[in-house]
Amino acid sequence: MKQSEYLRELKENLETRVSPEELKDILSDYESFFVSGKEDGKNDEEISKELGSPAFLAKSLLEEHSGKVTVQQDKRITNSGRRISAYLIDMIIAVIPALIMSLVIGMGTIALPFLLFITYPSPAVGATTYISFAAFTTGTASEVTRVTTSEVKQNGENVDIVEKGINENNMGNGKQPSLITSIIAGLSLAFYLFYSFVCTLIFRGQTIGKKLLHIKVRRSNTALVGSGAIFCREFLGKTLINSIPIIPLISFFTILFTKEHQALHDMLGDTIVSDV
Amino acid sequence: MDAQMKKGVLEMCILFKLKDQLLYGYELMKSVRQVFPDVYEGSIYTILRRLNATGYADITQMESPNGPARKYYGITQSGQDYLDQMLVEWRTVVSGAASFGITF
Repeated sequence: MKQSEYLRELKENLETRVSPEELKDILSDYESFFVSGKEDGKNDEEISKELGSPAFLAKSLLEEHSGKVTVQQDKRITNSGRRISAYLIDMIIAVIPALIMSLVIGMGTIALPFLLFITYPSPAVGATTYISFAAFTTGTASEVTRVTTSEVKQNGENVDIVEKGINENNMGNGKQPSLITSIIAGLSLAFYLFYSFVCTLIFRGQTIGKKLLHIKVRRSNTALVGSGAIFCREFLGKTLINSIPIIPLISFFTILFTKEHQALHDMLGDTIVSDV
Repeated sequence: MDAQMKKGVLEMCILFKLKDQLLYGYELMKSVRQVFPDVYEGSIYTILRRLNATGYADITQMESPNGPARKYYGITQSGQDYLDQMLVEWRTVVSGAASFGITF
């Protein structure tokens, strides 16, 4: 191993675990060992072999540390209340387009964005409901009802009248949505599903809710999150896996009771949420 | 050698070596390695840092023509007292073992 490699590896092993002054001190010591080794006529390879692997040295130094003062690095883990507040803000933000849809364009009722809101922890559940409701307004649903009606007709006249009533009601509610309405509905649904993922990508670990509460997603070693970790946490974890309704519930408890307040999607992405 | 025992013995040897002279960390590590080849310099370095942190050894920085300043380690008074105490304990251990018939 070259001197520069050795020192870099040593630095990576010790960084964030010892104080900056101490790190500088250790690195300067090891630099001088390399210099002295070269004065003895040894090359980088021989010297680094004698010095032992940087990982071993780091381990030995850190063991020494833990013996006395536990220099527990402060990760500034966010408390559960603050996290949940940020989450509530994001829940509201995620359904805003759908809410505008129902208020301004008049698609569906106010119950729909509300349903999306309460199913936000398992977004696919809300999304499926939303889509099936959208199908109602396209006329496909009325056709289905009409088929049912004719089938029922063979069975009995009385039922037929009731069914017809329902059918007419459906027709009354379900205005044929224009193409534009469908597109906007699709977009607001996409926003609902991907807002958190995309926002976290753009702001490198923050959604609007997290920004407002000054908290941030980080790697579990406090480094900045990369796109891979965000993909695992936000998309695989929060959008896909959380759509199994029991998962967010488990996460709720792991946030409350684990040491680093990690949700299951945090464990998946190897992330933590910490104060900025 | 058992890690704890090795730590203690190495500490004693290093302090003993520093008894009459200032020694540069690298030289010290080299001389220990000559006697205990299976000991990594990283462990010796760790011991040196600990001796310094506990006040048993102090450091004199000396400029070096190439590279960063070199640290020379020397024993302090409390280090001297600690060494004396260790040597007494060591003799007790060795003579105790000898009375069991373990001799070299």
